[in-house]
Amino acid sequence: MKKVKFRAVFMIVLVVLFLILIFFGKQIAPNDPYVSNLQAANEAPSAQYPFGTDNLGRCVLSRILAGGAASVYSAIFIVTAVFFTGTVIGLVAGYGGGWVDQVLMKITMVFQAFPGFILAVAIAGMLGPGLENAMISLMAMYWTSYARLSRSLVLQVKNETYIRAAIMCGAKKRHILFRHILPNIILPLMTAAVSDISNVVLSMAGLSFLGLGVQAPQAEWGLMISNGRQFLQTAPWAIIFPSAALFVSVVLFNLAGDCVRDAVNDGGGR
Amino acid sequence: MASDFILEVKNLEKVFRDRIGQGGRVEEDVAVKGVSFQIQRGECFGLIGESGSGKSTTAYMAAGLLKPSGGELLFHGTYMQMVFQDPMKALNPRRRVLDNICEGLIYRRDGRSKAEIREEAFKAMDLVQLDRGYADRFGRELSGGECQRATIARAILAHPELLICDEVTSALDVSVQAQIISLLEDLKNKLGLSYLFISHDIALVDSFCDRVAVMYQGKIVEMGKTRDIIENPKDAYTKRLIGSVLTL
Repeated sequence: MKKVKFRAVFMIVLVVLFLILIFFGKQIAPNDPYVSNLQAANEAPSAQYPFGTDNLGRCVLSRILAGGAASVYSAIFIVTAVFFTGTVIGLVAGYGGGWVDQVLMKITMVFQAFPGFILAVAIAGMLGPGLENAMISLMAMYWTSYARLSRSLVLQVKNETYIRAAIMCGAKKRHILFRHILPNIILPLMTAAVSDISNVVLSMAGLSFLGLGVQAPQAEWGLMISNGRQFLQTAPWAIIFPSAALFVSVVLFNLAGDCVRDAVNDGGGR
Repeated sequence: MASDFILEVKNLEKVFRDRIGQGGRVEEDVAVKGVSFQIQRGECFGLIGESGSGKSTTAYMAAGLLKPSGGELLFHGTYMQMVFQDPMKALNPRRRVLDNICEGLIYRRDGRSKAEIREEAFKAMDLVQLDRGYADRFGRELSGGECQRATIARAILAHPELLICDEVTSALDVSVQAQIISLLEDLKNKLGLSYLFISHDIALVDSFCDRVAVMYQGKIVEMGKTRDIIENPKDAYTKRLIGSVLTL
């Protein structure tokens, strides 16, 4: 119990430090991430450029620090947005039942009928490249799982005896939803959300890699990997370090999700 | 007009309809059929029968938690409350015991302040002999008997005239069963409650109920004073039910 709590706190501290680092990335970057210096193009890591430079002579470390915001904060924003919309849709469908449930679930089925990332690529392609459009397309891809999860949790909980008891006591629908159902389903949903951040970070990088997300010259990890790809043999650092940044953030959020889940299960939550 | 009866049930009927497959045929399951009985004020009325005989369905309809398919329900009172079979599941696991008990009054909005409701809830805890120290605990930290006391406290906090008890002792072990029954007896005398007491345990019904109805396959097969029925059963099913009780 204590160990689990300690691990959870440790992971939260790590995640917060990581987020602060990325938030102030532009300020702590050793060089200007947007100034190109063609004389220093594809330079190996050195004291001035710790992670080397890319094909336009821009500092890779500075670009990683500056690009984190587009990768990680947009992922957190997307997850927060789909967490709220998905949860509300699932609540309405699960508690409302009947034709409301039928209609909402048929809509989620339509979204889920396509492989997730293909759907995101199609929507991003239709809307045109850019960070906002990429975010919209990823939201369209991710909201369904929250809607389905929260609906199934509501269905599990809504016929519990304590809800019948609340009805006997004269509880209105909003009381039942907010006092009884929501507190009993929110923790599994939050666990899913924290674990999902890493998936969204990867999807976002994927869209940028394909040229559908963040556009050059803006720094973003997926885009940097895509640019560095052509110089893999002469300047591997331009692709290795952004990939490593992506790797670290994915592992970090996955572990954080696991810790949250363990802490929730340990706390007697259901 | 004040009626002698607190609850009148006339020709109550419940049919569950299940659709088999997509747009397929509808399967009908008659759970309760033509059930009629009256409960007098201050009376303890028992409903016994085997699992699936429709006694819990009748209780849920009487409580207003299930819509009857037919028949009439007349409640000559202001409030009724229900105590459920599994006490562990009857308390919201995310809320403290006191908050769970306060539910009995919190939705009524009759001018009572939150502090007053809490004070009344503490008194209800005293009445059901639940230590006030449990107020800030969660249901999972309590034993089954303590949980059941908490749910009874919630029920009586609402000042009901009729208390529906659906197999309230089935999930508890024997020594605790006896405590809960004596608590219910005690509350009956102190608060003038009437009971609709659902059980499959004849011995329990014998010790607690004034009158009893025996249900079998959704119908009442025999009804009368508890002693009369147990000593002189007329219906074949009742005879079998009583005969099946182990005697020590």
